[in-house]
Amino acid sequence: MSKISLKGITKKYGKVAAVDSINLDVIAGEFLTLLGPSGCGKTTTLRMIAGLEEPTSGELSSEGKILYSKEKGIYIPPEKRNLGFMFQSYALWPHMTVRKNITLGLESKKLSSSEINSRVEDVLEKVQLKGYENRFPSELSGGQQQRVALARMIAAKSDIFLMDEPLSNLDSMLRVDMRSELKHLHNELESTTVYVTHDQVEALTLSDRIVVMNQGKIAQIASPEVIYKKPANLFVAKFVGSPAINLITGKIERDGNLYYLVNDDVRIELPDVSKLNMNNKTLIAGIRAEDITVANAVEGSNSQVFNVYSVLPGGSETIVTIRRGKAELAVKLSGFTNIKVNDKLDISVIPDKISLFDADSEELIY
Amino acid sequence: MLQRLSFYRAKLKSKPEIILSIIFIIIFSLLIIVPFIKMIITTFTYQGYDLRLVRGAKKGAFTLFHYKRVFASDLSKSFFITPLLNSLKVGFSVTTIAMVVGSLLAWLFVRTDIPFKRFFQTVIVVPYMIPSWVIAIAWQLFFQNSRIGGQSGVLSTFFNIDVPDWLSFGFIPIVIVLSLHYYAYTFLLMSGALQTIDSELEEAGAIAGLKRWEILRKITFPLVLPALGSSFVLTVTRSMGTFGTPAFLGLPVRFFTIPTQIYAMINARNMGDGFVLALVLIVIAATAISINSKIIGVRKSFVTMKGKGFRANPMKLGKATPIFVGLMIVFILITIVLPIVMLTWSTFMLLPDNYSLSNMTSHFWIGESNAMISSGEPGIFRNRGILRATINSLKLGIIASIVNAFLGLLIGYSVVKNRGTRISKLIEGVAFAPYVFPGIAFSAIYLGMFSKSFGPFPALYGTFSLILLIVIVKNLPFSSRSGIAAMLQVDKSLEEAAAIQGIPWFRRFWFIILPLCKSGFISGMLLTFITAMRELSLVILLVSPKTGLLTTLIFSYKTQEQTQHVNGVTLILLLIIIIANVLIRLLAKTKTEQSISLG
Repeated sequence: MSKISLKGITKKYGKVAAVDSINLDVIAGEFLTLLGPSGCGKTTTLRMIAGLEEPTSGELSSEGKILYSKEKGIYIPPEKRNLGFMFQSYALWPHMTVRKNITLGLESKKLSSSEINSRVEDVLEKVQLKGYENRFPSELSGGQQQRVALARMIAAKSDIFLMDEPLSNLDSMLRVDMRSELKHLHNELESTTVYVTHDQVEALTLSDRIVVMNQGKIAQIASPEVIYKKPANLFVAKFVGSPAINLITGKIERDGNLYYLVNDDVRIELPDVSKLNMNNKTLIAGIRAEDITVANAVEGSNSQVFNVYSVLPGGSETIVTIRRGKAELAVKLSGFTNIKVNDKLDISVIPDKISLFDADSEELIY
Repeated sequence: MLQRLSFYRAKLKSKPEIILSIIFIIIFSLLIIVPFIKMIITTFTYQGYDLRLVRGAKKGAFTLFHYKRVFASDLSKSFFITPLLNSLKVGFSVTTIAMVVGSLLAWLFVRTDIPFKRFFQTVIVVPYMIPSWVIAIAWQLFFQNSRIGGQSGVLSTFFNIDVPDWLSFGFIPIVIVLSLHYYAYTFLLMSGALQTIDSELEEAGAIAGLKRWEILRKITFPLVLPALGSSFVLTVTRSMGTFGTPAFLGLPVRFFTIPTQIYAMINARNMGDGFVLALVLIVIAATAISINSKIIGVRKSFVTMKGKGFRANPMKLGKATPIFVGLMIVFILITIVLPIVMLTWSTFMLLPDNYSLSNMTSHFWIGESNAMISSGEPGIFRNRGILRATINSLKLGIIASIVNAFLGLLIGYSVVKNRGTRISKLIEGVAFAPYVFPGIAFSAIYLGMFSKSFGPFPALYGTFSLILLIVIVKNLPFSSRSGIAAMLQVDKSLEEAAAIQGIPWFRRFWFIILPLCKSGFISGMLLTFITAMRELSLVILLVSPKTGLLTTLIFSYKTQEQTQHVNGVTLILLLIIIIANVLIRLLAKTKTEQSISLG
C-alpha cells in the first residue's frame, strides 16, 4: 500500500488548472522530488497533500485512509493529518525561542513534559544545535534557522516529511552541506519524503524518484538516472541537465546499415533505428554535452568542422560552445583545456547515448 | 446528503476564517447595513414630525415629501443650499490651509536639518489627539465680543479691542480652528511619504540635468501624490462632517453647516429631512473616497516602496535656522501653549471676563455648591456629575479600545485569509462604511432601532451599552484598517506551520498571530481610545444624565454658559488623552501617527 496516493487530483483557479488531474503514488520510505519550473503546480500539489490547499476534485489518501475526497465527503484538516512540513521561508515563529518553536506543537499534543524535554534534546542533537535552545530565530544564521525548522519537523515524529524548496534561501555553499544532511537524515529516520524544488541538481542528488511537472501535469516519473539519460519528452530533456541538452532537428538518412540524422549543417550517426518506422519524419536528437568528444579538425578530411564560439572554464570542467552554420552545440570537457575561440574542431558522438524525439509529439521514441 | 454535510462541517471547522466571515457578515448587516437602509426608508416615508405639516399624511406611508422640501421648496435655501455651501466653503478652505501648513511642516522636519526635531515633532501632533472643538473653546476665550451672547474675551476685556463679529463667530474662526486641528493629518501622512523617498532619486534627477523646480515637480511630487490625495480626502470629508467646532462657533450666529443643520433638524425630531441631509454628506464622502482610490489606487505601491535603508540627505538651513526655530516656537505657543494656559487661567476666574488678580478663585475646582455662582454647580473635584462622566468616559474608552482592537484583528484575519474572494472585499468594504456616516444621523438611527429589542440585541435605550455599541461600530473603519495592515505583515506560512503541527486555531491565534500583531494591536487600541474619549456628535443624542460622558458634559455646560466648568472639564479630558498617549507609547514603543490611515 502506498504511503501517499493522489488520484485525479486537480486544483483550479477560476478556469485555469494549476494542477491537472494528477495520479501519483508515493512509496513508503522513498525520497520523492517534485521538480519543475515555477508555476508548474509542484508547490500546489505539495500543499494539497498537506491540506493547506484544497483540491478542486480528486482523491487523496495515506496508507489507504482517505484524507480528502469531495465525492466521498471526507475532509481531514491539516491539523489532523500528522505530517511534517518544511516551508521555503522556514516559518519559524520570530517571537519564540528555538525551544518554544519546537515545543509549541508538542504541547498541543498533550505530551508529558519529560517526553517533550527528551524530544527537544534529541532533535537538537540531531541537527547539531545544542546550546541554542534560548536563542530567538533572528539571532541565528540562515543555516541555523533552517536546522531549527528541521528540528521542529522531526520532533513531531511524523513519518511523512513534506518540504517546499527548503534550501532555496541558503547560499550555495551551505546548500551543498544541507543536501547531504537532509539525505543522511532521511536514511536515518526512514521517513517518507516529498520534496519540492526547481533546482534540477538538487532533485538529481537527493531523490530516489523524481516527478517532473509541467503546466500542472506530470511530464515523467522515474529515477534520477532515467530522467537524465532517457527523458520521456523534450520538456524533461530541456529542463534537466546543465548545460542544457543539445538538440538537433533533422531527418533520418540510411547509408547501408547505418542511420544518420541530417540537416543543412550537420550529419550525425544514430543508433540502429531500423525497427522504427521513420520514413521522412522530422526528428530531434538530444545529446548531452558530456557525450560529445572533440578533436582538432584535420585539414582536408571530409569530417564536419565546427568553429569554437566560446570557452567557459569552470574548474572541474570546461564548457565549450561550438558552431557550424546554424547548429550550435555545448560540449563538456573535464578540467581545463587548450582549446581557444575560433579553433576548428571535429566532433564525435557515441550513437547509443543519443535520445531521439518525435518533432511533432515531442515524445521520446528511442 | 449526510456525507455532504459532514464534509462541509469538517471543512468549516478547520477554516475559522470562513466562520468568522459569516459572523462578521451577520453582525455588520445588523449594525451597519440595516441602519443605513432604515435611514433611506425614513427619507422616503412620512414621520411623526410631518403629520402636522401635511394634511392626511399617514405615518410610514411612502412619499417624496422630504426630498422635495430639502431640495426643491422655499425652505431649500435655509435647509440645504446655505448649509451645503457653508460646509463646502469650510471644507475646502480648511483643506487648503491644512495641507499647505502640514506639507511645509513635513518638509521642514523630514528634509532639513532643523534642530530639536523629536521634540517639535511630538508637540505638533498634539492637535491631532485633542478634539478640534477644544481649540474652538480657547478661541472664544480670546475673540469673543460682548455683542453676541455671554462674556467677552481676552482681547476685548484686556486690550479693549472691539473684536468684529466675523472674527469672533462664524466662517473665519471655524476655518482657522479646524485648520489648526487638521494640519496634523497632512503632516503625518506627508512625513511618512517623504521618509520613504530615497534622496538618490532626486539626486539622479539633478544629474540628469533637471532644475530644482523640475525635480520637485517631476520626481518628488508624483512620489508623494498618493499621500497628498489621502490627506486631501481625509481632510475634506472630516472637516465637512465635523460637528463640535461649527456648533460652538457657528450656531450662536446661525451659521449652519450640514452637520449642525442635521443636528438642529434631528433635535426638532424632524428625522426625514435630517436623514436626507445625512445622505448628502454620505454621498459627498463616498464620492471623494472612491475618486481618490481610483486615481491613486494604481500608484499606491509608491507609498510603501522601500521601507528603510535609503540615504537621507537633509537640506542645510544654515543661517536661517534661528528663524525657522523661532517660527516653530511661535507656532507652538499660539496653537498649543496659549490655549491651554488660557483654559487653565479661566478656571480660576470668578467672573469670566475679569482678569485681575483679585478675581482669582479656586472655587471652580474645589468649592462647594454655592447658589450664587454658576447655578450652584459644585467645584470640579467635588462634583459628582463630573466624576461620573469621567468614569463613564474612561470605561467607554477602555472597553471600546480593547473590543475594537480585537475586532480589528479578527476582521483583518478574515479579510487577509480570504484575500481575493468576494467575501473578503465585502467585509473590508462594509467595515469601512461607518466612516462616511455622519455621527448625529447614525446615532439618531440607533436611537430608534434600539428603543425596542432588535435581532439578538435587547432594548438598549438610554443605556451605556448603546453608547459603547455605537462607538465600537463607528470606529470599525479604523480598527479594521489597522487590523488588515497588521495581518498583512504576518506571513501566512507562520500560521500554516502551526496548523500542520496540530495546533488548534484558538492556540494559533493566541500564541502566534496575536503576539506578532502586537504593535498594530496596541496602536489600534490607542486610536480607538482617543477617538472614543473625544466623541461628541455621535453620542450627544444617546446620553442620559446617568450615562453622560466628559464631552457631552462639556457641551451641556457650554449651552448653559458655565465657562469655568467648560474649561475645567476640557482640561481633564485633555489630561486623560495625553496621559493615555504617553502611557501607551512607553508600553508599546509605538506612535499614534502609525495608526492614522484612510485607504
